[in-house]
Order: sequence, then structure tokens, then C-alpha cells
Amino acid sequence: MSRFTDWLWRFLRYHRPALVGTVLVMAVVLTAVVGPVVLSYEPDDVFSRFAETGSKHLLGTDSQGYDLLTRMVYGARTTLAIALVSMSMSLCLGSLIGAVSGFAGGKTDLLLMRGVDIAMSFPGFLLAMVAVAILGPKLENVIVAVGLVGAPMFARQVRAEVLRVGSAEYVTAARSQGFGPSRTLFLHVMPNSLSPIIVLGTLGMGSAILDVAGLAFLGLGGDPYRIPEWGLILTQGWDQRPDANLQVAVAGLAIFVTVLGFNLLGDGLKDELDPRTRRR
Amino acid sequence: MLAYIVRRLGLSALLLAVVVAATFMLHHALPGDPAAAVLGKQYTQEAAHEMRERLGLNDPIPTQFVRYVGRVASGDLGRSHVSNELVTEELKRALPATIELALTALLIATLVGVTLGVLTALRPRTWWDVAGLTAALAGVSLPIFWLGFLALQAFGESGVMADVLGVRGLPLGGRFSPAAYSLGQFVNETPAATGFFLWDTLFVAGDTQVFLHVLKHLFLPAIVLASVPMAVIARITRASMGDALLQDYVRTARAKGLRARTVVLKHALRNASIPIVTSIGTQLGYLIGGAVLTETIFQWPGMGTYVVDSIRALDVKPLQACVLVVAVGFVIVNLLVDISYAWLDPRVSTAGGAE
Amino acid sequence: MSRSIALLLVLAVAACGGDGDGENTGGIGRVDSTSLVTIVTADQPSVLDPHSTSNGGDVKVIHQIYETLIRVDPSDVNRMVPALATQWTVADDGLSIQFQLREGVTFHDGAAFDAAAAKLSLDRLREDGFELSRAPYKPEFGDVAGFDADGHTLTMRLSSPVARVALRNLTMFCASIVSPTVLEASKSMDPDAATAFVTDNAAGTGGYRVDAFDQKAKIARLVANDDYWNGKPSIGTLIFTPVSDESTRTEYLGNPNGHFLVDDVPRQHWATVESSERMQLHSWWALNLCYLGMNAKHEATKELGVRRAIQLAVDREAVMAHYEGTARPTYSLVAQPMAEYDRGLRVPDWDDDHAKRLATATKLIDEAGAKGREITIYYPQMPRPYLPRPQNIADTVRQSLKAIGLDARIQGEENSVLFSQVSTGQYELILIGWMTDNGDPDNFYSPLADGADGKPAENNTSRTFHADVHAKLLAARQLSSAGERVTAYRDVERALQTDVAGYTPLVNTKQAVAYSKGIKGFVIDGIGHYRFDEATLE
Repeated sequence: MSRFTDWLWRFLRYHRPALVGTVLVMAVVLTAVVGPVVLSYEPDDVFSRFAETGSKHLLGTDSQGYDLLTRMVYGARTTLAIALVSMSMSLCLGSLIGAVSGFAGGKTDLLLMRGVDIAMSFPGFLLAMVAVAILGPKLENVIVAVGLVGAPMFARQVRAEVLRVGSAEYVTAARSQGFGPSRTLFLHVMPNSLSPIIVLGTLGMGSAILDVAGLAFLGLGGDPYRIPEWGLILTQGWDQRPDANLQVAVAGLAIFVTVLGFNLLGDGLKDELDPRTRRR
Repeated sequence: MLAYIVRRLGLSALLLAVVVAATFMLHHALPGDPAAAVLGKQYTQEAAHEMRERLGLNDPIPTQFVRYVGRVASGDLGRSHVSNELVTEELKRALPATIELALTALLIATLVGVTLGVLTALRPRTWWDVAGLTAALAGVSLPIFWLGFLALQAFGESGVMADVLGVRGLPLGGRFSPAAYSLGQFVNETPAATGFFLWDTLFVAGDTQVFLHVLKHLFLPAIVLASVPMAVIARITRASMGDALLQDYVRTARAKGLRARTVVLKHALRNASIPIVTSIGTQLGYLIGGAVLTETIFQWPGMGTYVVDSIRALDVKPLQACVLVVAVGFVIVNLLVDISYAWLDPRVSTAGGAE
Repeated sequence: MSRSIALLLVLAVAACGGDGDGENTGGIGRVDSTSLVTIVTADQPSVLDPHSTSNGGDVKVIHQIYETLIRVDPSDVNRMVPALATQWTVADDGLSIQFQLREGVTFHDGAAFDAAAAKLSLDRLREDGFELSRAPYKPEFGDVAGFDADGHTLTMRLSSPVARVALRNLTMFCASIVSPTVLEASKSMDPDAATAFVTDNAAGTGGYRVDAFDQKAKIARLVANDDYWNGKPSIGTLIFTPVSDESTRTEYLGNPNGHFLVDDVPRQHWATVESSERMQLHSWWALNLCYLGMNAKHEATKELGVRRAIQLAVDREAVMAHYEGTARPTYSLVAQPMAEYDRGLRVPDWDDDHAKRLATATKLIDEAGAKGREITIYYPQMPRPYLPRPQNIADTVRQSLKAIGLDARIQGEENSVLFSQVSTGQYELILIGWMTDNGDPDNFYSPLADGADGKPAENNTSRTFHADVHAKLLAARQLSSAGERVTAYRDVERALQTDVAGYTPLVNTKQAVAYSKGIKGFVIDGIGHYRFDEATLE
């Protein structure tokens, strides 16, 4: 453990942007975890519509009479959860495709990678839009769509890692000892290809938040009131402008700060974990 | 190189085939009954059945597929059931709008991005560098619709900045104001008009006043759309310029006493340009996705709003057409990138010269 | 860095554009603005064949070109006044109506107007001797047995004594009379070509004729008809231009050049128009309502008690907050401006105090054992005039249901999805509305609360066929005395609300058009149809 803390300390010390990123992400996570406990309202408590900002409602209320601050704080929770679920989906699906492709090689590899190429040569956001149109405008479907669209990037990265690590001596050794491919994959290859995946995962959180919010903005996000998600909150305010300008400003700022946090952190991790750019 | 391009062509053809098949499936995958969509208020189950018959939806799937491919190949993209208009006609209006917006954004992104990248690369590890990198990272973290909102609040009509400066501010949306609606008639009725308003107003009509009018409408959306590509291009430029400046030939050139500007522009930037050009190419993909959101904010009557409207109304024909058009656009852009790649790579060009 | 460059550029562009957009924007295709009115609509006109369209963009143009036999009285939506027919008499048995037609009227193409011409159009809209690609109003004329023409006397034969409904139907734009020369020529064409032919050769008897119709830009230019029977209109030219975007449409409101009529002005701008120097607002209570349909056949809403509770719980005042002061609570399925609307009607157990109503409703829910039950409110994603912010209104209704212990959620759907959902009954609650074309109560009850052969009609959101109500409706349709009709429809409404409880009426809304103050005397009726033939410019 102390090796990790040492590493973390050194990492954050030398990567100022990553430090800023960590602070931002931690702040949002903290809000998501602790915030709802501290607040005095529930997200679906109804007050008068468009109440002014003041001691009763720090950020005022929205067009439906919900307290905006409360919804933003609960929104931190849902937004992070949604992004995490859809990023994990991309990660699992992408890793599976990438690993199979890299391990199997030959025709399977060719076929899978052609598929990945095709998927990646098309604007992902547009694909996600079409996917939501097919599945129906519900938040669950938005998560699935964003998850699917994010998968090819992971697939490509994992395949590259498998090819890199797969030729390493310990893997050859493991295979020569008669371990099956899946066992070799999970016991030897995966753990050794973790770091680029962590980097992609961190950056993927940011883009998942942006994509989910973007789909919500186009009216494809589903019920904005039952689940306070920042993109939906922003969109709701946008539809009620100029009365709800503050709502748009606050929700957008929250999204921006969180995504920036993940991007700064991911960028720092990339520098640190990538052996080619590691600080000398 | 030729083999590479041929292989790319093969992949492109494959991509197009996949997209045609996928768009065909859209017809059946989308929720809602296309017949019900056409009938609207007049919907009854009998009428819907009759309409499905008329639309050929009761035929076997392979028959429908063959018919679909045949129609697409002959340029028949069907009619929108919302406007009852030919999709090709609607595309003729939407496509130039988006291309004009995307190219303007790309131009801004490239100019500003490359400048920013070069400047930061020349001053590594200074505040310039850090500020530039952070700004670039901020650029890719911004929700583009939020940026659009802020831009409108600041510079739009009766926005904050406009108030401070006592000017009217930029238009809130559209390609031209209703006051100039005869402009729309002009574009629709003049054979020489291309639908690219900057071109039409300046060269076809030769009217600088209207040109400025159009430019004002284009400005905010283009800046907003440019934000992300600008950030990416700046980062790539910074990285590849950083590498290039450390190369031996640059040091040699400097040692030879060549002027700093010549070194930077002629040698380093040229060698750094391959990844930059590649990134500009890949940014077009982003531009299409970003255009959807930007166009929605600024009510830009382009492909983005067309896609969103057809998805909202589950209007199958325009949606199929949009996906097809975007795919074709992609294939073309990717090929162009490959060709410029070959053109820029010094090794390829010397090899060609020696032959 | 990039920001500061951007800023400078913005300032440069903004500064050079400081003179404003409203002024002359240059030499491209300027239009002579004397004696011209530009009508800005949300929907595009594309088909000028009244018998084969139901699109609002078409209807607005059609009203200037063609005329019907009778019209809705602009000053009283419940009355009818002469147009191409000068007078009409209903036979004693109620099975035929005789029309005396105006003499000396000619169509734009020179053809003479007589009973034979009228018959041809009225046959065509019912696809009697004609085939149309779309005949959207054919079902409305199901009770018509046929027409007999004799000089300038036209007789309409009915298969059942529903004279009042038949007359109201004749006021609809679809009953417009088109030149017989055009129709005869189109008869041999295939349906799509015939509609295109009628559009290209649009010839009616109206105050305006088509000068140019740009199918590509969807802009129609009409000019005054020199030979109009009521005298040549004073305004020389009308231009119909579609602007689908709401905020762009409102930009016309501040336009200082020329005269405008702007249709479908968003509600939040009405107050601005009213206080504006150049524009004025004409608003009226429309013949519509927004209501919550309740599916009596769905598992979650099958108990009468649950549906009754929802009727009591819904907070109309809260719903109205989303209409910017342009809606009023409504308690019956028929539109409030109509004579048959029952002002005194409230559902059983009604209490004027909302809190007390909630208590009663909560009790009903508990009795039905429905506490905590999951219920979804479906709503259309596209706004309609009676449902301007569907999502917000749906959520406000959700709040009311939550207050009585239901676990309500909302789900937006595209129209075509909703239509098939309704006809197959796959929903619990649905937020929806209705707008009548002919202003007859039957136009609300038949499609929304009745059915045939023991089955509910496609748009009947209760999914219930109620034999008693059906019999009452059949009887009411045949009444001609205004007093009897009012009583009969009140009876229907009470039976529907008490025994079926298949809907909760929410609000009746206003509609408005904005137009330049210089336009005087243009005629607009209570259904929202306007004509320019009597208007003048100042």
C-alpha cells in the first residue's frame, strides 16, 4: 500500500493538472455521496414555480417548482452513476472484443477489427442518436447507446495490449505450460494491460457524461423529473429560457467541471503510465 | 501508397454496403408504425393496413430490400411523411447549410488551433504552455450546447456584451433573418445559386451588404462548433511541433543560421503537419456530431436539425438518407485525408520524384 | 488566447452589423410592399386540393382561394351564415336539406358556378365517382346519401336525420367548391396526379386566385380576384411563407417593413405583441380541450374508483400555469365555447377545495387497494396548440397523482407511436387533446367517447364501448332544436363521467394570430379560419 501512496504522491506532485483533476473529481464524488444527506429537501418536493434564489432556495426553483440545488446535488449522483454504467459497458464489451480479437488472430481478428474500423469511422454521437431512436427515448436506452458507441475504442486498445503483452515471455511460458487461452487471458494478459485501460476509462467517463447530456439536450433522454440528471436539468432550463437561464448556467457548469476533472486526471495518468512519455 | 489507397477504397465500399443494409433495417427497427405516421389523425386499423400495403410494407423482407437498394442506387430517397416532400429536395437545402457551417468552423479551428499549438510548442514548460494546454483540455470538456448558450447570452441579440458595447448583437439563429426572406427566394429560384450563402451572396448576387448579413448569422455557430476541433488541433500541433523542434535537421537548420521563423514554419511545421492534417481529417467526424447540437441551438437549417427532426418524428426516409449522406461524406473525407497524407509525407514525395 | 481572438472577431462582426437587420437587406429580389400582406405560418402549404388534404398549411391558403356553401358566423361560432348558398331549408323529416345557390358567380378559370358544380366537388370529397389518394374527411360525410343538382338548387340527401351535423360539416374547408372544368379534367388521372393537377390549376370562387406557387420554397403568392362576387378585394397581393421555427417566426413581429400576419405565435410572446406599436393580437377561446385519457381496460386503471380518484386529484390550476395565462379549467369533453358545454358539471364527490378533493381521492385509492401502484402517463413529444409544453404538463399531472399515493411516471412518445398505442390500448393514462374542425359536439363525442359494433373508436381513450352512451349519442345527433341538444349532450357527458370515467378534461385554451395594425377588417371565425377578401390596408 505504501508503494501506491508513494506513487500517488509523486504523481500528483509532478502532474499539477492531474492534481486539479483529482480535486475536481473528488469534489463531485463527495457531493454525490454526502450531499443528499446534508440537504433538507427531496428532489421531488414541490414548491412555487420559478422561486427566486434566496435562503430558502439557494438556486431558486424550476418551472415545475422543484428546488434546483437539491436536484443538482442528486444529479451529481445520477450523472456519475449513469456515466459509470455506460462507460463500464463500453469497457466490458470493448475489452471482450479486443481480447478475443487479439488472442484469436487470423480471420476472427480481421473480421472483428473491420467491424471496429467501420464503427469508428462513423460519428459516434450520430450512431448513439439513431440507437436511441430505435430503442425508444428512455434513459436506460441512452445508457446502452452511449455504452455501445464507446466500445470500439476500448476494443482497439485492448487488442493492441493483448498483442503487446501476448508476445511477452511470461505469457508464452504460461501457454507452454498448457494453460488454456481464456485462463492465460484473464490471469496473465489482462492484469498486465490494465494501465492503458484505466486511462481510457477515465477519459471515457468524461465523454460518456457529455454524450448522455447531448442526447438529453436533443430530447432523447426520457423523463427529466423522476431522475435528475444534469443533461436533462440543463435541457429543461433551455426549454424555459430566459426564465430558467440560471438553471442552464449551473447545470452546464457542473457538467463542464466534472468532465474537465476526468480529462485532466486521465491526461495525467496517460503521461504517467505510458512508458514512452513517462517523465524522465 | 497506391496499394494503401486501394485498400482504403475497399474498406470504404464495405462501409457503404454495411450502411445501406443498416439504413434498410432502420425502416423495421424504428418504433411506431410508418403507416400510422403517414395517416396521423386519420389513423384507423383498416386505413393503416391499406397504407402498409401501399407502402409495400407487407411484402417479404428480401423483396423490400432489393427494392430499397434499387431506389437508393437510382437516387430515389423517398418522401418525408412529415412534409410530404422529396427527401432529395430537402437534402439540397440542408446539405449546403451544414457544409458551409462545418467548413467555416474547421477553418477557424485550424487557424487558431495551429497558431496556438505552435506558440505553446515554442515556449515549452512556461505559463504559456500550461495555459494553452489547459485551455485545450477545457475545450474538449465543454458541453457544446452550453457553450452555445453562453455565447448567445454574451454576444447574441441583447446579450451582455452587446449591451455593454451598445451594439445590437449577433442573430440568435437561422441562416438569415426573416427581414431578408427574399434571400431564401433568391436561393431557391436563381439557377446559379449554390445554397452556400456566403458564395451566393458575394459572387452570384454580388451584394456585400447581404453577404455581411449572412456572415453575421454564421459567426457564432461556427465559433461554437470550432471549439472542440480547435482544442484537439492545438494539442496535436503542440505535441508534434515539440517533437519536430527537437529533431536534428531543425537544429542543423538553426545552426546554419536560418532565421527562426523560417525554421519553424518551413521545416518544423512541415514535418509536424502529417499528424496535424490527420487530426483535422478526423475532426470532421466530430464536426458532424457536434453540428447536430450546434445546429439545434442556433436553429441552423442543416443536416443536424434535419436528423434531429426526423428522429423526433420517427420519419424514416429522411433518417435513412441522412445516415447515407453522412457515410458517403465520411468515405470521401477519409480518402482526401489519405491523399493529403501522401502529399505531405516527404518520404513519399521524394520517392515519387526519384522515379 | 483563442478566446481573445474569438472575442475580437465577434466584436468586429457585431460592430459592423450594428445598424440592425430590420432595415433594407440589399438588392436580392425585393418585393413591392404596397398593397401586400405577408402571412407567416408554421406549416408549409403543399397541396391546394381541398378534398385531399388535412394539413394546416394548406388550409390557410385554401380559405382564400375557395369557398364553401355556408360558413361559420365570425361573430358566433355556434351559428352558420350564407356563403355560396344564399339560404337553406331542412325538410320536415330531417332527411334532406335544400340549398339555394348564389347566381352570377364564376370560378377563377371562367367556369360558371351552379348546383352541378357544387355537386361535383361534394361528390369528390366523398370519393363518389372519384378516387383520391387521401380522402381525410370522407368518414364525416358517412350519413350523406347523395346530392341532386337542378339549376341553382342543390339538394343534400341524408341517410339519417342528422341535418345539423351535416350542415356543420359543410362549413369545413374540405367542402370547398372547386372549378368543375378542373375536376372533370382530373377525373381520368391517377389519384396522385389528380391532386397535383388540382393544385397546379387551383381555381375556386374566392376573393384571391393563385398567382404563383413555388413548390420548392413552399411560398404561395395570391392576387385579388377582379371578378369576385362580393367586389374585388382591396388588398392586392397575399404571400404565404412558411417559417417552421418558432423563434424565427416571432422575429417577424418586430419587422417594420410591410404588413404581416403571423400565425402560431408562441404563448410567451402574446403579451409582447399586445403591447407592441406595430402589431396587434387577435385571440379567441379555441374549440379545443386538453384532457387526460384513462384506459378502463388497463390493469392499473381498471377500477372505477382509481379513475374517479384521478379525476378528483388533478390540479387544473397547476396545469394552467404552463399556459402563460391563456388557458382556463374545463370540465367536459366538449369545447367550452360551444353552446353544449355544461358549465355546472362536476364529477361526483366534487369539492371546490382542492385539499378536500385530494382527501376524497386518497380514500378512493386506498379503498381500491391501489396505494403505491405504478402508473405511467404517456404524452406526445411534439407540442400542440392545446398542449404547448407536453413534458412539463405531464409532470404537473404526475405531481397530483403522487399526492394521492400513486407511483406515477411520465413517458414521452412520438405521435405515430402514441396513435398505435391508443388503438391497441397499451397505456394507462394519456395526456392528449382534441380540436374540432366543424364545431359540432358530435365531433368530440363520436371519435373520443363512442364506438361502433361494441368496439371503441380508434381515438376513444377509455377503450370502452358503452351501449347506453352510444344510444344517447345517436339520439342527440338527430336533434335540431338548440335547447334539446344542450340537454341531451349534458346527459351524455354526465353518463360518461360517472359510469365510464374514461377521461379527465383539463383545460380549454386560447389561440391567437398577430397582425400588423394597418390591416383592417379581416375576417376570422371562432375556429380560427381567416379571410382577407373584406380587409383593407392603412
